[in-house]
Amino acid sequence: MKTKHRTIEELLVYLENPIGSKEDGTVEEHLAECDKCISDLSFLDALRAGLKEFGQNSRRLVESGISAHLTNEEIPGYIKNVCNEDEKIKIVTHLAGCDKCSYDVMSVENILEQLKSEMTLGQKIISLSQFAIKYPVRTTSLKKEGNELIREAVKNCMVPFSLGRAFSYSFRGADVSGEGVGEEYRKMETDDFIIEIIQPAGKEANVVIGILAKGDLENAKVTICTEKEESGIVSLVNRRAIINKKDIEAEAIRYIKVEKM
Amino acid sequence: MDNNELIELQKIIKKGGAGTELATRQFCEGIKDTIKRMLSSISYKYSQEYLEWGTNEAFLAFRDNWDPEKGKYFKVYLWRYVKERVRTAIAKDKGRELSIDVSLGNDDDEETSTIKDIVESNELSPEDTYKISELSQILTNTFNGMDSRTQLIMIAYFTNNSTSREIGQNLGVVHTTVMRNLNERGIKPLRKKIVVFFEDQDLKYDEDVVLNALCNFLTERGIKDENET
Repeated sequence: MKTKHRTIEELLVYLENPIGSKEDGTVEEHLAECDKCISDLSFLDALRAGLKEFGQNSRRLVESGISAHLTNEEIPGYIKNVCNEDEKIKIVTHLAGCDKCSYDVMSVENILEQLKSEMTLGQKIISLSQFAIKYPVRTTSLKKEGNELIREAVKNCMVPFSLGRAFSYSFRGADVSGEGVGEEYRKMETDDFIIEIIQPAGKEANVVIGILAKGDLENAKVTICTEKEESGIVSLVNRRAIINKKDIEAEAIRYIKVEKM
Repeated sequence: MDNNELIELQKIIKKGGAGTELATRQFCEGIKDTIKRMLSSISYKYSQEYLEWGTNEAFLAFRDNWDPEKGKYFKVYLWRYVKERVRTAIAKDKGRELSIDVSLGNDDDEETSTIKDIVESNELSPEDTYKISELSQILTNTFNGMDSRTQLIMIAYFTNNSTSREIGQNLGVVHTTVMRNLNERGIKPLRKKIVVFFEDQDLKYDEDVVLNALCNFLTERGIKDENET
């Protein structure tokens, strides 16, 4: 045989190419003399036909309403393989016929993998916040991870306001109120500080950050993270400090880290 | 020219009428390079006459035999079936006693297929039907046992025609990782089960059984289970 066998991956790429592609020349030169690769190609072709048929049937079930869209409880169960076999079959059948749910599940799978990888705590908060903004209806499928991340953040002097809001988290007197007075107001706390953010109504790029130390402290190191981190030392007067940020919105704050000095 | 465009062309050609000639021209233009490569692969000297011959054979197969409903890419169909027709036709032209009805096996073996049989025969014996059903079930179980990421890749790639790059973007990985996962965790386990199926029953590997089982797996079970719910 003059040319080498083609790998399955190469044959998949060959099938992806439109007919008559120039790049196909060397593959076809080999196919011409190799029954094994022709057999592999037919295998892939039949596999695709089988899955396509499965997809068409599933699509009919989705369109007729027999196969319901996946709930936010089903998605993590499926990804973590904690659902039973019947549930798994039901989910797979739906996914094969529903592009939207399929895309959503891949996105949840992606963020779960990211959270498992070796990211810093801050990066994890940013990634999960971005997911919550992009897929608000699927946010509760990550409720467990969101709550765990918030707890871990607080232990590390960080208050992840974006996650607190997305997962409706409340702890140690955390509060979300102020809608009645036209201001957005949120409060979260760590072991050493209570941190509030207030966005006055009608002033989009303006946020007031209030810091209250629980003990007698004179200074604190404050890190505000929007798309990037910005750190500074603030003086505490009567255990309090007010930071007025004119160039950012409350919505853009991923977390605020306040450390004792 | 991709498979979907070919499907549309075939519809126009089968329907007949005003658009047929243009569709035929588009088809011939689209496959010209592939036919040239096919002719050179048969190792016969290239000539315009053979190119026309090959194109004609491809066209007849395209119009009369290729069934996109069965899911086959026309590209594979060309290399698996049409090439044999062209090779045989050219061989005949060179004075050999071959036709599309000629036996593909030994001359004294009455059971072997002809090219015509390969292209047109769809008959299955009850024994083969049983094997297909058994293998189909094994493949379904294998697929159901795969992890969610592999299933998602298989579905997106084969069912939704997503490319490996698109899938990679959604899963946050590079396209080569998608292809590797698809092969290592999706395709290889299925192939392994197929080999074991034949070995366990001391049967000879039967490609027709495999291809039929692949074309049917998952489907029946999915519908049945959903209707029961």
